[in-house]
Amino acid sequence: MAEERTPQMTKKAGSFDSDLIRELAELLSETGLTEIEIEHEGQRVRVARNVTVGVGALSADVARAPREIGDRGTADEPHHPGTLLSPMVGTAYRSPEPGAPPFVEIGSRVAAGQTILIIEAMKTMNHIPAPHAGTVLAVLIDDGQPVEFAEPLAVIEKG
Amino acid sequence: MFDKILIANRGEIALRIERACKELGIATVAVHSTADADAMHVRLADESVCIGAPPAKDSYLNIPQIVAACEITGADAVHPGYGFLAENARFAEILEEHEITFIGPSPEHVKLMGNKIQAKETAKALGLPLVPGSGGAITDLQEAQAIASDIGYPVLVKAASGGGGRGMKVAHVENELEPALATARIEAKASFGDDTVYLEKYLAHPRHIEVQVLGDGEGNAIHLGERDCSLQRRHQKLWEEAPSPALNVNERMRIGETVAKAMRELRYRGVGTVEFLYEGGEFYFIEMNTRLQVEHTVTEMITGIDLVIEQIRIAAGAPLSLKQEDIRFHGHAIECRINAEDPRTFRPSPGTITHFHPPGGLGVRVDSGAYAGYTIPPYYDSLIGKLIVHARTRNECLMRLKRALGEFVVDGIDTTIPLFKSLLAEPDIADGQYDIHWLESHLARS
Repeated sequence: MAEERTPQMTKKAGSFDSDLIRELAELLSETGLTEIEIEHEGQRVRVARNVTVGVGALSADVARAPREIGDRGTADEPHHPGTLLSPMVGTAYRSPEPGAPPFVEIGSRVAAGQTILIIEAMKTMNHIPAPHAGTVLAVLIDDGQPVEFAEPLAVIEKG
Repeated sequence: MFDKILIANRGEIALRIERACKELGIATVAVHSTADADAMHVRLADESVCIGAPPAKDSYLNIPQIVAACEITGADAVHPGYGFLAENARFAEILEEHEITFIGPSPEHVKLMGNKIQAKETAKALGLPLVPGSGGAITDLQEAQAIASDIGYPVLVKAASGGGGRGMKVAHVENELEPALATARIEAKASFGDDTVYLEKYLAHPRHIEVQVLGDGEGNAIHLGERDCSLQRRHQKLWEEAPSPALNVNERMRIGETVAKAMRELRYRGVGTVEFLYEGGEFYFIEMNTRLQVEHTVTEMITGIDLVIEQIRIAAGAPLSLKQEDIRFHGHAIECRINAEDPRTFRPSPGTITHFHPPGGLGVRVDSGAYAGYTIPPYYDSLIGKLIVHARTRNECLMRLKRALGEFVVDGIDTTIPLFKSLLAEPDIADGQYDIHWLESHLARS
């Protein structure tokens, strides 16, 4: 869904209770509703989450929208040559187990084949190795983040 | 009812499923290969997960990746569409093991009908009329020759693990039988991993007539009429209509009820299609497809029933919402499968669509994921969309189809739209007088 999470408000004539509006806006976020309208002391207040509808059949906005997973870069954006792309779908973990230190940090020097992170799928842990020796420039995923195929996971500068 | 359905398919059918889910208020997950990142159904789905490289075996046939995608999105059901994993019993079983609903029949029924020899035996036991043939697998040449003499040439050698028109070889006379058997076995082994073959009588001028069924898995089943899919090229359907121009009301209800009764006995769950060859007023069972079919659309047009919604409801455990007496047929519908191919040579034409203007108006439906700027990937089938028209009579339908084809603009690639325009000019098509060999004969003549 191309959805912006900014509440929009309309008001009828007269002053309004800004605390009420704020409360309604929070209620919207908490409950996941898109619209709340109430009548209170002769005034009607409507608080709505702004939903963007694509103008024309195929606006570019609709295109990039539906990605809850893998929003950090797509396969068609140019990658740093040392970018490690996910070979599979699953949940990425930075440490061998909860509470343990992560496999690598930014600045870590790694050998070719060294485990950078784990991707878990269907109860099996898959070690993701460094494709070459070098230095970890960036780690692009959070611990426990779902990842898709070809999603950029980390950047390892050769050398 | 499901909260979230993962659509394990692509192209127009993924969009079709997405639409039904949306209408039921069910969240959707589109899985796709890297080549399909810009597909329309991916754009419209609530979530998408890239599952692999373009080749089908790395993506749309990749069971572990699809199951992993269910895991990370929390999908509670998978709709397999048609093709790919739709009739893969192993996939259905794996999903069951992971407590994810496979929207389709039980793995047992998928397996049963997937093996064409077992399917025939089952059909026979359920009272469906069969094509005369070997009954079981052919193990040696002598046996084959004896059976072939018995049922009479020409005969067809068919792969037990084939289906969908693949893995078949004709032997017109006795001396063709041995080579036909040998070639069929080799091809079957290569395509399906199983060289088991059986024999059937080759019917000279049959029509392909199939019956749509809906079952709830509890012993209730209804039929939704038949479709005539005789216009085929290399066993691939190009034009389908409902009802069949060849059947009258009595024949329709008789074959429909015979099939519905068989499905009740089988306790079949979900949608399915029982396919027959029809010649000389007789029906001959060839196979059953335990999935949604490409041409389900024409049945939807004449009955007003959304088959994908019914599939989802049944899979969620709901009983059939309709009884046989609730099913009414209104008018006539025709579907043309529009492929990205040269309309005369049928050479595939992948590339970028520069202009896309589908027809509209009363009784015109286009099921397509194509759009201006869309690049057709070369890795998958060439179907870019289906044009379906509906009208009160078959003649009106033909006029409407002609009008709709005239409006349909697809620039930048070749399509088979001109082929359908030329078919409409043929008297046999106008009269509905064709059989499964008609189209290839017509193409050979032109």
